[in-house]
Amino acid sequence: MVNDLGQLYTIEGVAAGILMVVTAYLVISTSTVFTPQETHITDMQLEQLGHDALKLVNTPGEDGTLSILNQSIRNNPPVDFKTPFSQLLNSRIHAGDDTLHYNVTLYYRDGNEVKQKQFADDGSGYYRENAVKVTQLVKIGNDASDPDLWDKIILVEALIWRS
Amino acid sequence: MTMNRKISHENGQLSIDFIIGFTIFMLAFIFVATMISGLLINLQSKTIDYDAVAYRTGVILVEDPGEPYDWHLLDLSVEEDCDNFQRLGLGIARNNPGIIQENKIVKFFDFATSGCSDCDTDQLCYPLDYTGKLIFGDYPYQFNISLQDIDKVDYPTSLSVGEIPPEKYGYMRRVVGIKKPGFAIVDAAIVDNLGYNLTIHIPVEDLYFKSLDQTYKIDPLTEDFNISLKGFLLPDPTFITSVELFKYPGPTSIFIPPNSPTIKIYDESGPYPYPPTRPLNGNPSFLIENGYFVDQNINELSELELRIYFDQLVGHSTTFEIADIAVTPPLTWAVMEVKIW
Amino acid sequence: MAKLNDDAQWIVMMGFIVSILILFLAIIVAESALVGKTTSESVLEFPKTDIQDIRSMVFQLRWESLTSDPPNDEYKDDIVTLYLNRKNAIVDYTGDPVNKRISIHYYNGITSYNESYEELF
Repeated sequence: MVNDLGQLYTIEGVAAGILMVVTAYLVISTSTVFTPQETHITDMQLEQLGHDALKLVNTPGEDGTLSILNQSIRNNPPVDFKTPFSQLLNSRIHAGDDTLHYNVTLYYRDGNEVKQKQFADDGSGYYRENAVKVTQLVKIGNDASDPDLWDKIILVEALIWRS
Repeated sequence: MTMNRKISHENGQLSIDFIIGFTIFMLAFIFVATMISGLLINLQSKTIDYDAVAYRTGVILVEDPGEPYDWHLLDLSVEEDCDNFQRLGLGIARNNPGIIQENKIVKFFDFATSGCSDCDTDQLCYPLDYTGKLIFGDYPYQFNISLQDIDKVDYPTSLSVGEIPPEKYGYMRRVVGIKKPGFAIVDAAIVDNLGYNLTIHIPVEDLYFKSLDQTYKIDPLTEDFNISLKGFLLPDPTFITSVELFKYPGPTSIFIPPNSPTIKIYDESGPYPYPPTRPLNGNPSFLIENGYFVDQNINELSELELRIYFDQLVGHSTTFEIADIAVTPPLTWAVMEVKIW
Repeated sequence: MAKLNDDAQWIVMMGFIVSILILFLAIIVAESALVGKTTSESVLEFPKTDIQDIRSMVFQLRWESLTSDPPNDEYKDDIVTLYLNRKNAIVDYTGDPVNKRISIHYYNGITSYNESYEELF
């Protein structure tokens, strides 16, 4: 029974098996692995949180008063703005503080142009690629320290990133 | 000995050669089929879904007042109210996203745990009401929603509903402003002569339109409203003999029920029993609970009068205007975290 | 041998067919990676915060009277220019204090938003 003659079905079976395995291996090794788009999820979370924080700092605590953002733009230097804004961005419930940084710029209209002023940043100078930009509109009266901003509605832009 | 030994078609035997060949083929086939299922994982997106669900849940909680917008006043054990209750949301109004209402927070985190089913108690049912009216979807998501104020003063241990999350979960963090109910402090310094009763004139319209922005509005219809006395000298012992509420024109008397929602009296020892059984300890305060005015068919145009009778010379015997002294406390900042898995 | 014994060709053919199917499946999966948008991309694309901010500012201006001093046109120019320049979005709003109506328009090239708001009290 055991001789040197190749067996028909066995040979065919082995050949078919090798063919399938090689094909499958080729296909899997060349297909791109499609990971979930991580950056979009973190961007979405960061943008919503950043906008929440900037909006709260732009909401007066009591009716008829000015918000923290409005006051600190009026008064300049923006000392009263940094601590509350950083607190809103970084507070967490079941963990320690988060590590979000920011850089805030003011944009205002002068005639037909849009000009900008640097407002506040939290000291860490550089930002990474995946920073998000959130904005708020603020109405400034005619008693601000900077006359360029009198009686204008300005756009406050905050660039926020996670270190 | 022939090389091609044909198998006879009647004896039902397979050659060993055939079996071995076929077995090798089947093994390879099963191996390949298992490898291929890994190829199709790209088409499933369950891992992305949790963050999206957490985002959506966060938006509904923080930016939506719910349906109906005063769901915290409903009595969920009444079937009609339970049917109307479609969606949970903590927001104060549709046009004011990011500001949430404290009375809704109280009802949201006060839930009945095991053994509850739809519409049997006045409390929210965990987890049915949360998955059905907040998270939505057919998949049985598990969740944890936590709220804590930034200064950790109001809620030193955070309020939370849900299980302890595992290592990986979909996450969303929001920061919100909590609007607390309005209140009025009646200061004895304004009182100039003594009488046996204190009459407080409550024109709901004046309170309501004191601030147009819903974020700062004093709204005794959908929120609590607290009237507290301050600085009154109460001889020992002083009893409150009666508390009455009247509505103009008339004046017609409004019923004050013994059960919530009603007008509750507090003093420095805590809740003051009414009808009174003990003397007052310190200046009293009167809490008009949210939902009481609506239950008694009082609306924003009503004009009311609250009369408090003491058995000693305490109060001012003429009428007191509440609208002048009513205020809303400042907004409180808070963090809310939603975790879904 | 008189002719080649090709009894077992069916095994190899089955193997061959399975390989073809694998390749076909790979082509389909590769195509599907190109279509479809994740939920977070859609969330980032929709200008929810922009629209909420515009509405909030317009209502704030309305309570402080749409005909305040300085003339409201200055504020409107501010908002329109800033949004066009910084966000590439067209914003327009009109207020009718007599009939208590406000209408707001926002368009950033992808999403268009129109609102008419009327107060009845």
